[in-house]
Amino acid sequence: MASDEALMLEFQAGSRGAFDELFARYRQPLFGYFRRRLASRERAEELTQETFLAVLRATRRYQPRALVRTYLYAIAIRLLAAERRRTPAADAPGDPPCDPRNDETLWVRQALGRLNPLEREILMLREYEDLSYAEIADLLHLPLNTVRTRLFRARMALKGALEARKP
Amino acid sequence: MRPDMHPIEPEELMAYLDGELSEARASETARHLAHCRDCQAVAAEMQSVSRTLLAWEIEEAGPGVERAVNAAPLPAPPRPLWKSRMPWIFAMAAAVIGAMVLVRIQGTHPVSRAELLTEPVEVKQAAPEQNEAGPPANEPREPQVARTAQITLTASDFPAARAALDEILKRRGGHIGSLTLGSPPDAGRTLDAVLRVPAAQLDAALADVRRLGRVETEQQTGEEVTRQVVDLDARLANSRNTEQRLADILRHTAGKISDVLEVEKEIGRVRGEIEQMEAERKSLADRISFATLNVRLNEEYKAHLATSTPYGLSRLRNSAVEGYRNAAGSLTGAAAFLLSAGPSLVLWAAILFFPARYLWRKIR
Repeated sequence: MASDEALMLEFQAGSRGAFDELFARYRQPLFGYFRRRLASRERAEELTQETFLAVLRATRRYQPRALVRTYLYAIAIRLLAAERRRTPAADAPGDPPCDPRNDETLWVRQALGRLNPLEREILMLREYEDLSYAEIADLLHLPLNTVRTRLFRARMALKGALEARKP
Repeated sequence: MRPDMHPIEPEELMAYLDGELSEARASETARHLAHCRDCQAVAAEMQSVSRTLLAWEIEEAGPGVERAVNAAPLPAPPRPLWKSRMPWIFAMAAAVIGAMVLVRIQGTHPVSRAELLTEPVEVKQAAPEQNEAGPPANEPREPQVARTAQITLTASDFPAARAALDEILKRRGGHIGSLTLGSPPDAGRTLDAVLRVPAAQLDAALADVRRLGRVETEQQTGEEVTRQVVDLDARLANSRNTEQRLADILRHTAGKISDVLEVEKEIGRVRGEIEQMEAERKSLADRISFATLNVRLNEEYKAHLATSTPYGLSRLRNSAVEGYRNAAGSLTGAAAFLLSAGPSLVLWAAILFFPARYLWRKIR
């Protein structure tokens, strides 16, 4: 299987197939990224689509020194920040979910909503987007050690909440 | 949890579970985790937090995303440099032909020189384009795997097993990364070694090591690093291109001193990056070409019952020596006491003798 970076270079050279493959790989993860952070499903879909359109527009600017995954999430983070500036009430965690699948989901959302915003973001990037500490540090412009410490703190806070929930 | 009891901090344990520790620290943590109940509990709690978080699943993205992206036009592929410079090439060719015609008219024939002049223009312009469009990342690669094996053995003849281990290393072209030998008084000897063996020889070396004793545990892992290698190669090629371009700028610049200094500073930065990436690449290549083999060799422990007689004799001898020392010590002590307290005793006896005699006579 070709690496994301190889696909991106093929795409830069004009291959539509390479872009389709990248789209298939990252469509759901990016939608998940926005969906977990925004209350509106429609906006999450629109922002996913905007991320890919931004990639299409800025193909030539991509430099192979960054991982494609980091590049995509960097665009997604910028789009989300712009969205939050436009509509500050757009955040999802902690809000009553629009489609609660079960109590567990509801509990997770509320527990995440109670975390410090930066720690929540680090934890979510690690657990849901599966990013490495170095990638998170790069995306959030933080020192690597800060990422590790804050992640530990977030997990300990969740552990405390989990224990408190047990009968 | 007290850090003096646990060499691994909980935060480090978390980094281990996330696969974010260095190889050496990760194997140390794995060893500690294997026998530490407290740390096992902490690890289980962290894994439980991660599992709980995964309960929040996300529905599939709607088809709208796909439609919008598919409808977007694909950007035009970058125009080759020679195409964008076409007008200039035509202009230059026209000028050269004009010059040739002029020279012909004047009766000289430097046609071949003029042709030579036109050729390198196109070659020069095409070269950097090729460099940019064809980094090695596009070539299909074989998977690059950094292999690690772990084996624990119990040997009845410990010195022979150790010697055989050195022999295996020599035969397979490997070397010792680190080696620790333990020899506790009331247990068998142990040897912990980290061996680096050429990756192609790992299986053969493992087979040899297995013959040294009874195998208790064995584990093999392979970390796929193809992506890191491809990424690093691409970044290296890119930085080398940047360095080349900066060097060209420096060569042809006729600007201010501050500009020149700025370019030199940038070259220094890029060179630093290149050297760092080259070091990373070398260490990665070393991990791929040399597999790590962790060997733990335990000696089969036999309790020694035959030592009682010599041990008893030496104990008697020690007691006799101690008795003599005690006797000599008590004599010296008494003599020392007499010498230190004697004069005072004589003095007091002399002072108290007459009053005591007087009292004694009076009572009698």
